[in-house]
Amino acid sequence: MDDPQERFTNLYDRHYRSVLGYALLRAERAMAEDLASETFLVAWRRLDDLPDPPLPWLLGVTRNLLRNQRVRRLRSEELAARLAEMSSFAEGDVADRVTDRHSALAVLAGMRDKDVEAVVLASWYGLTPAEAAQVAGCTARTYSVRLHRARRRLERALNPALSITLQEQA
Amino acid sequence: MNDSVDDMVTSLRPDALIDDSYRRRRERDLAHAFRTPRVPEPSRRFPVPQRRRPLLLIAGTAVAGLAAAVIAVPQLVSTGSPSGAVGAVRSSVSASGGASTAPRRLDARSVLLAAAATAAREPAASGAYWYTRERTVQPVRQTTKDNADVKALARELEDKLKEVDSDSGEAAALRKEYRQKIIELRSRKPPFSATTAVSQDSWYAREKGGSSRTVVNLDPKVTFASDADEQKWKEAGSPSLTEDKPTTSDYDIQLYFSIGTHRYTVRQLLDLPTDKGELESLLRRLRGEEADKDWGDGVPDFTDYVWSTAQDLLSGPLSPGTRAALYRVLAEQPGITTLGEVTDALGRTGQGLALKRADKGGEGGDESRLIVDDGTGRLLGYEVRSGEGSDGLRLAYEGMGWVDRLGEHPGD
Repeated sequence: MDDPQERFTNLYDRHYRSVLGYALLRAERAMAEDLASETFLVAWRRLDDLPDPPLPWLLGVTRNLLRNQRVRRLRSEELAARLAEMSSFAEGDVADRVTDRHSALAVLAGMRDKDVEAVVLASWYGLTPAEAAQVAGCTARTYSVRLHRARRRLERALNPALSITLQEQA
Repeated sequence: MNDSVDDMVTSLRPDALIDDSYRRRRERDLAHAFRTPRVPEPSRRFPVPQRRRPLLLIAGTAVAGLAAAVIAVPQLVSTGSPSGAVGAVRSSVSASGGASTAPRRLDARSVLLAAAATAAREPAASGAYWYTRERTVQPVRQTTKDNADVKALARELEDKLKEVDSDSGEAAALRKEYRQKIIELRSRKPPFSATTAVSQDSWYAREKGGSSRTVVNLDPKVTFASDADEQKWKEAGSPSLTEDKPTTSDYDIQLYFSIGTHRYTVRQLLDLPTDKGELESLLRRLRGEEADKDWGDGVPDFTDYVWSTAQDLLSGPLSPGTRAALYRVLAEQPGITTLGEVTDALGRTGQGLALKRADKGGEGGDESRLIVDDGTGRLLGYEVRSGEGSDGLRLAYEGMGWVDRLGEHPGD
């Protein structure tokens, strides 16, 4: 596919939602949409240089735009709080999903912000530790530790029976 | 097990919101991209959302700012300030009643009120872009090689930080070590005395979504303090003191003017109050919302706040009414003195107004000046002289006005 416009449109269609989701973690909707648009403008200008896969790079650009703009930060910087705020837009109206979500949000609220970010990057985007580390701005090793810690706490909330087993093993 | 945890976290993603935004924005975003030139220029810089403020370099705060700015870099994009000049700090020091008595014949208040009256008479104009050309004259403190050395240090720090946990004591120690190295580099004085002068053109889009542009490194000139200084420069290997060619940067991100840490677009500036009382209330409220942690030396006092606002906004797109109101607010601030007729960096004469700031270290502070053209009420220039008596920064506005196209100059 040679046509740059077509390539860019595909990129946008495949990744806009992921980029916006990431921006929404730290900015209100209007600003998040603008940041997502700007991210893709940067991608447009560098269309021929994009790495494969492009998503970690795109998220990295968004992260830097968030940092460089003196964004009027959300009142609470806690990701868990932000997720809770947006939870009315989350999918799933199945009853036990809702319960799970409440439990998850409660557990996330008690976790370190960076741990929350780690599990979000892994679950929302399926990033490898190396890719996620770039986006989160830490080493892969550090990222893996945070992810492991976050998943363990969430597992215990999801399945108390399971947590006993884990403790026995620990 | 990971799957169910990950599923659960994924279910927290606000998909309905995201899908709605995607549907709404897609056409506009694609169209906007396709209107943007795709060919990257070799000297292209990453867009910096905030308009750079030309302020005197002060060790410590500025260094931290520089290091931080270079660190936040994704792999394929380089960052840098759009202008070649050095400096990135708010020299905000409170003017604690350090008012010298103004000469009776022509006091600051009269000058400012006269400027207000003249400004108010100007017809309102408009256009698609607000244009300014500013010339910055400052003493040589670094050669371009020194600047490159600082950037290299900052990159080195960035690489090292990748190896450690960003929250750790190691990271903090690294940052401290490099800040010290950068301070040492920056305090290396060149063995000769010279000033550089360079101009910058800026176009600020009025409409949201419009592009803005700066062209920096225009018409660079070096002036040596004496023949002996020039000789010493030659003996030092004639190091390059200015960038040698202009660089154009186009910005798709909104560029902002500022009042303190509050950001204002061109349109918002044009909507500022034209009544002196309302403008003053607004400025007091904005200052009241500032936080000490955002300012190197704590939130400045109101006089200082208005002064800094005037220095920045008077070169910006204000309506004649707001310009006049701002002069009137300034006219009531204590501590501003008049210097009578002074000459700006371009040799033009105007009314000089000064505000001295005491250095919190008690070692004599700096004096900043506004030079006003009393014929038009426009700002001719802004200058800062530091307490040690060495030359400071001189900024002269060669031109400003509304144009309809990027690259156009008023009167074209």
